[in-house]
Amino acid sequence: MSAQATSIASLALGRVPGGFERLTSRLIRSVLHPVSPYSAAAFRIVFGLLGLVAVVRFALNGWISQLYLEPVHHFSYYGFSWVQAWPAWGMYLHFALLGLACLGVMLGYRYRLSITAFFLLFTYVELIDRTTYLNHYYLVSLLSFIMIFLPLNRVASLDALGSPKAHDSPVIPRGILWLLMAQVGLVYVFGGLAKLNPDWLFHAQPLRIWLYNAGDVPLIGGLLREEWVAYAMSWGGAVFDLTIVSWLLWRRTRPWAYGVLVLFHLATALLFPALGMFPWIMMGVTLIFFAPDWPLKLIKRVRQHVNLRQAPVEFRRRPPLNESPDWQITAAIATAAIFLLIQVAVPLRHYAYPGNVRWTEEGYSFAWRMMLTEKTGQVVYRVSSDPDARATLVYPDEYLTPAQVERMSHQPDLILATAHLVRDDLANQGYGRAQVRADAYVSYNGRPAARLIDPTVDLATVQPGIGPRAWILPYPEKRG
Amino acid sequence: MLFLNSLVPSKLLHAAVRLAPILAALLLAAAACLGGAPSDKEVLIDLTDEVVAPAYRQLAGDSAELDSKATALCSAPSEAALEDTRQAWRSARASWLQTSAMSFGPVMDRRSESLLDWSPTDTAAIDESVADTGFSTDADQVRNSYSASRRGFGSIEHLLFRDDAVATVSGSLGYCQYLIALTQLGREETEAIFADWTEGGELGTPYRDYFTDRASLSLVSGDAVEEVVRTQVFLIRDIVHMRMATALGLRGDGTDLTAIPGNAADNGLADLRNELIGMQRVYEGSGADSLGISDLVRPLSEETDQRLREQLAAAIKAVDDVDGPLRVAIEERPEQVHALYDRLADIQLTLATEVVSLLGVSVGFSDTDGDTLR
Repeated sequence: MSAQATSIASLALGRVPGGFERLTSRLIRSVLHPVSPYSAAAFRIVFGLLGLVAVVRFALNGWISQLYLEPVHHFSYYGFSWVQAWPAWGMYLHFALLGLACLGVMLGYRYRLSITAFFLLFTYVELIDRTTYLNHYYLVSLLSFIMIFLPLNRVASLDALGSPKAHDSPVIPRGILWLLMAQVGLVYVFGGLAKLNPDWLFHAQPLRIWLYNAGDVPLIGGLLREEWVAYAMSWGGAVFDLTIVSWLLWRRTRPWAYGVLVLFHLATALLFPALGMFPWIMMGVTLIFFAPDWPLKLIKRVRQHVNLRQAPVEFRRRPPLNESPDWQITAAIATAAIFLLIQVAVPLRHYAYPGNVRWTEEGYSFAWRMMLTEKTGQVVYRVSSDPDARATLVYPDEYLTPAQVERMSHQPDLILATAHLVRDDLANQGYGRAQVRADAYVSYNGRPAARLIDPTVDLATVQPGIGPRAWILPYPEKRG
Repeated sequence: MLFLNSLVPSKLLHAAVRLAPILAALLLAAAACLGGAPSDKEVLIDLTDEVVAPAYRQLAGDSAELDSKATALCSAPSEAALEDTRQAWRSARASWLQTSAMSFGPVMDRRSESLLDWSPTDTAAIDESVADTGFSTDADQVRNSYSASRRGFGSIEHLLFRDDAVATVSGSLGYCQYLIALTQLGREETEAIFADWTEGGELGTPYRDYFTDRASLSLVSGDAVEEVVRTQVFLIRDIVHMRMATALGLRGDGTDLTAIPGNAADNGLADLRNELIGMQRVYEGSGADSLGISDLVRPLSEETDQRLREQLAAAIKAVDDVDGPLRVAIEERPEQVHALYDRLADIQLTLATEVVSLLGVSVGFSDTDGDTLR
């Protein structure tokens, strides 16, 4: 084992002499250390189940139609304009296949095919329209992508039932669990870092607003309207997000930490129903932090409880060292490391932009910025043939659904995209090349409404892109 | 429990179980001791009892008066009786438009708007009916068989405010049948709305009770405060976007006076004023001791609350500052109407951004930065 790990480290890093090589070999040895696959299997089952619940909720609540069929226009992601909503029958079929993929993942039936299908089908849906972006569904996409490459069907799966090989080797490398933990942990860490801002810490916003509006909750409503409660929950939430991963990683604090995590997410689910699946997903995926054999312990207790005498399946064997060639292991570890580095870099990309990210929203998405802002906007476009000509007012709801309008009215990139929609539509109607300016106002975390977009800029001429947007007006410092 | 047992040491679990009731009792005691700002339910009760129910009672009374005056006009046609009926129409319409800011509950469930006020009015069809010597109708027929464009205030306005009204009353049986059928339908419908709010009507339970209880159901859905605020947002959006901007030509190639109902009676300014008064009452309450939406906004932002109060007052004053009928002012004194439009747009901006944000109202779907329901 040790020799192989050293040789892999050498392959990966070159023949670096001395302590560094020893360090990397120890790291690789740890990554490859065989552990029980039951925790990973439980992760797979919980993940598939949550996915299935999400799909069923989507269908039952009519969101397939509301979000993907009713809108005439969709806001594509850059480079993904080819991802379009299917016709009605296609969207329903898409979701039906997604539900089947969830079942396949949960049951471990043709797992690789199921999880690959899940990733593709789920991510396709998420890519159709930028106004439907949700942090937790981005997490689901990322996790499902990772899961494609992980053998989470070694046990507790239909695949394992039909595969003698799986029974022979019911172990997985510990690195698999670490990778999943890292991906889940990043959500909390970046969520916590994002809370370290003056609004959250020194004005208890937006929790002050949200808790105040939950003031009619039975029994504790009066408490929620107290300002000190908002401060306590703001600071408590930041500390929770920033430290929970540490407590979950430490074996002695793990049970308490998970208990607190469950209480935290249950409380948020109760107080903020708009969070939807987020609390449940996080309660489910954080089980990965428990010992690799926790499901076995659970089964053991169940058997004891019902007085069954059969011994539970035990984890006994170590994986064969020659399971995969060195270069494959090296490539896998290097790829995982690069993937995680990207996951660290993406949430930090907002530092490349000037201004306050919570106001400009440049680099806001894909960064685990959850529950940080209460923003509402209003946009009216002024369309004219030239700056001196009389402008005609155009309202976004002439093109978009109410849900899309609500979302786009405070996001500069979507305000720009809608301006282009107006420009192109007028051109198609034969009005020629129109100039489109926006009167866009946003109220943000309790502040008075302020202009978000420079009203003098002709948005019809502005090209979309990832560079800084000079046409976004500065963040209003004054608090309401 | 089994599951927890497998994850959490039993000592910890037992300690937590023992501590939980004590913590819960402490929390509840603290919650019970706290007071201060009014609750959603307190605001809704006041709003219903002091503003909404009285507004619908007034509407029912004024509609009955209009029906009575229309009957009197048809019994003894005269210029004085016509003027009385026109005045009753203005009063009933004023009451109706003040309830625009209260377009939730029975009035929506019953789809009363299609019976009472629909725009545009099909004046040609009405004229054709009245001119038909064999024309005959009643309230039930109007309710069940007529299109919305041939019912309600617009149709009554068309009948009452024509130049030859008195002569037509005297000379056409169909005219009076139609007029009385319309006013009778108005009386029946507005009485039914008021009864639904206060007595239960066909619902069994007074809507007031259901409505004020919906504050405590906010965890599930359908928060009543949210519905009230959303109604204000939709109303001001309709006024600013659909009516004023269109009438002033801000949305199209030129002014379009058909966007403003009430042209036959030149009631456009009065309509606007009454809609704003309704909004003001919903926001501020009916008096110094009465609660309104303002009482929910103020604890979160005194600045927003004060500004919206000022904007509502300024818009009402701007209506009063416009000389003459609105349709005339749009063409002859557009600067006055543009000033009014700006004041209305101010209200819209504050309501649709700050108030909506402070009260956590979802106008379209719902969102809390990326984690939304789904």
